[in-house]
Amino acid sequence: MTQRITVEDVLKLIEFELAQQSLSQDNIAEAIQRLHKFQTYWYSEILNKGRAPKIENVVHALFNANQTMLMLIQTMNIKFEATQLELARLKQFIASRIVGDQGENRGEGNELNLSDISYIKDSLNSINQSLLNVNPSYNLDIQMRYSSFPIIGALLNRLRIAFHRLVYFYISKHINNQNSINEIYKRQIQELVYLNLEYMNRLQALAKKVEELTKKENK
Amino acid sequence: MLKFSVVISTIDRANSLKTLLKALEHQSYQLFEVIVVVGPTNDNTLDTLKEYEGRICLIRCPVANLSMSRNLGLCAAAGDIVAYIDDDAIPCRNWLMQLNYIFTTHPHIAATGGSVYLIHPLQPMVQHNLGLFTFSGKQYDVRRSWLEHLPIEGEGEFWTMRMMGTNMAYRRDVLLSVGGFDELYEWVYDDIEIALRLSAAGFLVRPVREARVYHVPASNRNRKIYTFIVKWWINTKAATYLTTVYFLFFKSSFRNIKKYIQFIVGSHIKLYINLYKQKQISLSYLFGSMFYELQALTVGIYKALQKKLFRSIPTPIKGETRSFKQFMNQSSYTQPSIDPIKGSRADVCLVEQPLRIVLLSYNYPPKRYDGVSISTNILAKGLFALGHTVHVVTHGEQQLIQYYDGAYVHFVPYELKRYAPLRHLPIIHHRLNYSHAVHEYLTRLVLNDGIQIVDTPLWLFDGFVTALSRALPVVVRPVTANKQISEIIGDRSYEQYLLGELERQLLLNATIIAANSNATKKALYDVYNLDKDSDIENYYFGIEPAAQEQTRPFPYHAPPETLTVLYVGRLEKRKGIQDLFAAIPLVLRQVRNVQFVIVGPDNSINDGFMNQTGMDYPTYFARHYPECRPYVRFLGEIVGDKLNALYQNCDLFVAPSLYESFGLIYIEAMNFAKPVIGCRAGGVPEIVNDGVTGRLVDPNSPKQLAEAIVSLLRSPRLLYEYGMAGRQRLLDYFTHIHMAQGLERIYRRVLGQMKTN
Repeated sequence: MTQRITVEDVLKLIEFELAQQSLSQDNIAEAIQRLHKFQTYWYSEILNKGRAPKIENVVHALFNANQTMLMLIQTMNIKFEATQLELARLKQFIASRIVGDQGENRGEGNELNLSDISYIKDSLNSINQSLLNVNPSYNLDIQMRYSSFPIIGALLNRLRIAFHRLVYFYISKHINNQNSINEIYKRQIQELVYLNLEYMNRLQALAKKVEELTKKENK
Repeated sequence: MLKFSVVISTIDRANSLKTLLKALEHQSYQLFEVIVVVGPTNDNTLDTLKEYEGRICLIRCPVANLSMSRNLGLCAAAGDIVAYIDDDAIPCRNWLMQLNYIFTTHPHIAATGGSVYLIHPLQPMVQHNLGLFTFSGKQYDVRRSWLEHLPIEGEGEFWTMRMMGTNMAYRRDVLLSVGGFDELYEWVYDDIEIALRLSAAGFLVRPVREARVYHVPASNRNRKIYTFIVKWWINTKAATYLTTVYFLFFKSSFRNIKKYIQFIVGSHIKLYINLYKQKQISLSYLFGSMFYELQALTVGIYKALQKKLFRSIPTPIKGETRSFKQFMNQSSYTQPSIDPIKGSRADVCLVEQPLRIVLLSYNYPPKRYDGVSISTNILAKGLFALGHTVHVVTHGEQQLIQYYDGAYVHFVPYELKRYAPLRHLPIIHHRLNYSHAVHEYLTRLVLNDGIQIVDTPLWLFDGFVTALSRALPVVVRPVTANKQISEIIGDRSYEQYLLGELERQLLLNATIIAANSNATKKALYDVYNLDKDSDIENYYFGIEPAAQEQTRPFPYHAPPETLTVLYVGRLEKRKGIQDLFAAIPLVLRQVRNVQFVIVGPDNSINDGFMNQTGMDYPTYFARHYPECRPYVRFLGEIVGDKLNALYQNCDLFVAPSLYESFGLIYIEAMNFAKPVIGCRAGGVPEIVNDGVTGRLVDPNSPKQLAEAIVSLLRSPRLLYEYGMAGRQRLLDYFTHIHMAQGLERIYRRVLGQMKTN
């Protein structure tokens, strides 16, 4: 037998949804998800049997993905900085409140280092450098027609294959380069997301502390 | 705190400019100056600005060139941040506050700007929301956020975020360092180009969603508003120049640029031809336009090549040294709210700061009418007339903002993405999802428009989630609510019960309850078991009085041959429609020169009548009272002017509702000097003065009802006198101003209490 929903259940649901809302106030997570789909699509396009996509399209797709990730990192970084400032402000506020409170529970030992975000900037710089080193103007046609001309045909085919292998060699170098960039992007985004969450948690804890202190003061 | 210089470039738009300057007085951030750059104007712009002498910095621009005008403003700016706004736009109250927050908390951001909403009732839309652009001229739909269409497609290019010229702000030193705006962009593309240039120079350009600007586009020298008659060749020149310059300097794909320019010129030529076919432009205009298009194309490319040849990269410009002149003065704080479209404002002298109020109403005229929506609309008009800023949040298929009837009307869509465990209770599931969407939207309104208080009807409980979140003070306006209705119509379903309980929770969580009559107050105690010490305040509904010449008192010297009795309301049990049906034959037995006009939608399905009888109300009447059929007309739902005409042309108004929390319909009839008949139930006796403005009968009493109708129809003098007394009673107690004053008192009390606490 199913239990009937009561008013209290509805109120709890609203409370839950309100709490959820504070976690997802923008659509960055959704944008990352879309990016993931996009990457998967191109991965399957390249590796699927049948007519392969043009190398030009692959390069464009990779660049667009990089550009997107760069913008996402920038956005996350801005949010991250804002959170940092808010955290610093709250910390200062609490410190001023508990000066006369024997300095208990300041919890300074396990704080994250707020000032050091230089490694994120360094990473961004290295990404920019890597992007500059990649030449986007490949205009290569990797499709090959086999010659059936007697005697010379076999030789021509061999030569063609050799040339194509050479092209593939550079392409794979290029793709590797792109992949490494993508990896850095991904790591940075994950790092920023993690740090943001961490700071959000700390902010909540500090806000709670402020509330307790205010109550204490009111008493 | 950062100092802001608000730069407004204007030509021949004195009225719009005046509206903008009045609106700027409502800014919550006070540390700003206003620089008005006036082009070669032919209207009374300069006279308009005399009123602001000493408060603004006036600069003249010798030619009609937007970029030059922006640069003049930039050089004259004494603030740290230069914020540009169009002369036909209105910023939200926290526009500068939000921009200040962005520039203060994000030291790396060099330029930003918020969303732009077109709010004209003829063409509402989101005009700009986090735009994205590339130097080959490609852009995604700037009306949607770039986050919504990631990852970007096409050929990997240098994408950059951009703002719209109507709403953008820059660090002054940064803008000076890149040489300001390129003056070749006379009218368009200036905002795009500067964003690209700043990004290319390594500065962070980051538009945001907040810091909204409401746009009411007006015609200018280059365009006729709401038509396609625009000097498109200015656009062509700018687009060609932009894409060619960036092709030459950044070596972007030539194929893309060629494609883009072809697209721009081709679409403009097609447009001119269509306009000619539609006879909107003459043949000479058509040829002239084509010539200008080709000329613009050539000039664009030539100027870009010239730039490349002489390597004329923009050099830093030097700003003037001027003292900062703050725009706000003491009188700014008590200025009444302004209508951004008409530029009008209430003719009142305020002592206190006007309030910023949000009224919630799921339905809202002119698209959807019901009692709650009509009263909300009237209240909005009343509050605006008292000088307050009013926002109405209502349901819409897409997010839009319009301004009409004294209020910003925000249309909020919702999806069923929350409260999955309540899916088996569809009404509650929908209402909670909508209420949550409203709550999210309200948090945005707090950020942008600094709203202070939310007013929600109990009906459909739009403000339930907000009340529970305690994010804002919520005033609940109870009307006849679900719990009462389900008791009257005998609906004992569990969902109805739960709806009633949720209504009770909304009342318990309200900051204050504003009851529209003593009857409502009593019902709240009885139906919802509220404590006697619950905070309930009284006010009365009101309507906008019709002009004296629109009233139609009964012509007792020359009575009409056929008398008309009007009923307005949903056809349902609670509205007493069955009693009226039973009374009609009794009336017709005594008075034959009468016709009954019944206006309102049939609600037989929802009130259970269809289940009981298998018929809707008109069919039921036709079957059970066939002899009365020729005397009765069912007109269905009628609203607006047509309904007013019916009120004007009736001789007696009858609405035997079994319960009305107030009964707006009675005062609507009284507005046109009509006598009314109602029941001694709910708030009706507080409106209808028995024996003075009409008659009151017992509910569920068709006999009494018939007697009252007959007695009035037989006395032309009474029809006249009751009607006139009703009209006077309306003017004395039930106008929209009375209603707004009553609620203003309640709002101020709540806000005062919050301040004290």
